[in-house]
Amino acid sequence: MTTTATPQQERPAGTAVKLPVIDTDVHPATVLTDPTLTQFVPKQWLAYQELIGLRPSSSLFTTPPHRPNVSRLDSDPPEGGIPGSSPSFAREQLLDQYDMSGGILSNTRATFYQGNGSMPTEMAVDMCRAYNDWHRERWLEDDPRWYASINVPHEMPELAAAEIHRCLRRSDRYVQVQLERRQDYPTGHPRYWPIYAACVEHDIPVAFHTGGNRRTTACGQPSTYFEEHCDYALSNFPSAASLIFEGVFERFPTLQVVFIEQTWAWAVPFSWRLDASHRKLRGEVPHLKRRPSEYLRDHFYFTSQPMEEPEALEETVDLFEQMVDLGLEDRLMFSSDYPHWDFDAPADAVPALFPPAWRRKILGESASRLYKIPLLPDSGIEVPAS
Amino acid sequence: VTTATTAYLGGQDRRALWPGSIVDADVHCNVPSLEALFPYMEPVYEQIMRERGWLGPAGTRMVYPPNAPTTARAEWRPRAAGASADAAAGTHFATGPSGTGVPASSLELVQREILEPWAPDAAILTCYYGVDSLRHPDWAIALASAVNDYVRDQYLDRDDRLRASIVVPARDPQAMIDEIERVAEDPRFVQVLLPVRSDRLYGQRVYHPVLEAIARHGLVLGLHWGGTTDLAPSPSGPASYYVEEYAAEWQVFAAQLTSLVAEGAFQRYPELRVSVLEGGFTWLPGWAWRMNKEWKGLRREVPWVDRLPFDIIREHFRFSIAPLDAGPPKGMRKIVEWLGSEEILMFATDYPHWHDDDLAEFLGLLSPTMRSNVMAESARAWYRL
Repeated sequence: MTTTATPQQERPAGTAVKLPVIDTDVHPATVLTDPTLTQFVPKQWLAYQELIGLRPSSSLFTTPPHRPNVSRLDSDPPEGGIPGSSPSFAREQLLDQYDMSGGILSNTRATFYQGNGSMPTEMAVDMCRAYNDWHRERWLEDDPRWYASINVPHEMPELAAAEIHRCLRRSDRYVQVQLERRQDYPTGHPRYWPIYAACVEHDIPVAFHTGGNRRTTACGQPSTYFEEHCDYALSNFPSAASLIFEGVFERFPTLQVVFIEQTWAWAVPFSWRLDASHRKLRGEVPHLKRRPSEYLRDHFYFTSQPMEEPEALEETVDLFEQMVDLGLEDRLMFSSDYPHWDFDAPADAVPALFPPAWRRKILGESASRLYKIPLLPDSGIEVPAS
Repeated sequence: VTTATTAYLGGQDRRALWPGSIVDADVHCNVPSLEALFPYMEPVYEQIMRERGWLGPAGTRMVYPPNAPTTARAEWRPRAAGASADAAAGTHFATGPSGTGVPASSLELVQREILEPWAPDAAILTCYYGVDSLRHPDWAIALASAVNDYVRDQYLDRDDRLRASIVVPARDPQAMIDEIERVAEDPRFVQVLLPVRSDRLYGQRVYHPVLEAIARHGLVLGLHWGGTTDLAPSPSGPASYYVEEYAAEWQVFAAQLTSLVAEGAFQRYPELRVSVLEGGFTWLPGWAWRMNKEWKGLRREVPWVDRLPFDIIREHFRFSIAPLDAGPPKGMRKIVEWLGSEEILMFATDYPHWHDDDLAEFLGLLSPTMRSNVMAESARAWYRL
């Protein structure tokens, strides 16, 4: 597996160059009655759904979004089905449209199967397995540029680890483990360490994705989808603090964490806050060998969508410069959130004001290095040569 | 020479740091012992508490663990004989190391440690007492009322520079309103202290009559670290380490701010003003940009939010600068610039908590106008002093 950058230096000055793109957040979706999925679901759980039905546990039911399936207007597949259910249509609208080197699937529908209630626990285990098999058979088979995240019964970490091992025996295009951003216990709690150990064993990152599960804020649920959507980023603070202060990165020095669709403007000021807190309370956490900001710098990645929008566009440059100053310049990765309504297209999301080196890292290089996904030769979005 | 930090001056003259006037927006005074409140309660409550051997609300210990270095600077842990209610007695605010008393627990301590060295024109007391950690509805009301009367007697009546925050039983909207009505006729109470952790978000309609009462009396809603939810105090469970919980407390301030804006509290009550105390501010620009962005896409759902959320925040919120959680000057200068308001920050010592921020460095980043706003004028206008 080689990483190939576009040989821009060989082109005559003044012509367009291509910036290779990897999309780190693509949402496959399906309904539970879809036969392409149910073929992987044990008959017992299909019968259970007939007998009892599913009990919704998502806040998307209590604060309904403004669009069906939170999707953009043009994303209904021509052959029918809901947005995100057709690999070939997604390929056309995304991978082909933007000439991408890869798209990483993160299925938020599968993150309801955490194994912490609302259904028989064994059903949660089997449903994660079914989704993982569906991603492999339906999506990874569709195009070599698709890569998948592994869904696991998050609150049953030993079983989650077993599922990680099972998936990676089947395909090497599972490139990360995807967890819900909210958990029953703090994110770094030792009960979850079997999941982190499995990630380290296979050298894949663990990702936390925004989602509509229960407990959006410390003070209960917000009233509207607007408010909920703002609040998605709240979990960044306790999750990052927990992973760092529990000593997860001392125990797993090679573990990498990805916060998907969780924004990134918070990272730099929060690194100051973490260090300030640690200066005063370090006696409580003698197991930390370094400052919290160093763990943040060396172990966390962020995805771009929804792209930060300061009040003036040029301030986005200053904002990313803060990331550079902290040593995070290789840790922001482009994501589109296809097919959701707040989709970001690569050329617009990463401002043309950014120096080409920054755009190149964000659009493709950083993800290529983290996920070991090759950047395809002479691929990507065309931009004027500087 | 010690660096001047929020808020320990050591032996330094504060005029070397800032020659102008000062308003201190967040000075804690702690109830020295449960017994100190007995004169302000119906006798039946004294009886109830003595019968149970109850020593006071657990809430203070939950959010300010008594021995934690952040809870009080070493210099401000009273050691002298006569320091009230010691650790061995296991009181509500037991402070270690053993033999030390309750920090910030008398007017004399506040005067000696804050009012004399900092010489503020005015200081706003926040007497956080964890009333919300007590479930009994009447008992919680009695406790809140006792704290307010105690603060008036022991502090406001004895030093003209002091103003105070009204403590309310924050689980019960009607009781909150009743206590506000009872206390607010004394103009020295300038704020209602709402602990930032609550079982429901404060912007929700069940709290609107409370917001109305706060606005009608010209009071400020002071969102302050504290409170209790019996559920997990974060989206991902109760923190294992205090440092982890402490560092991540931004999440709950941001949730309350977002709720108040999203629910239209400021369109319904245009006079409503909110202070974010001890909640930081460096998180605000990034957070508010996201709110602006979501509003552009989703505002049909919240038609009462009639302009960009960040503009609403700039008009209706102020933030205390203790703790600063400052990064390098280059980064901090940008944060200040992105706040986009010369009025939005207010100086606070947050006495007796320990912070190590370099105040002089921070003041050096500000324009002369903003410097005097931060040190005094923003709070003076906000609290109508």
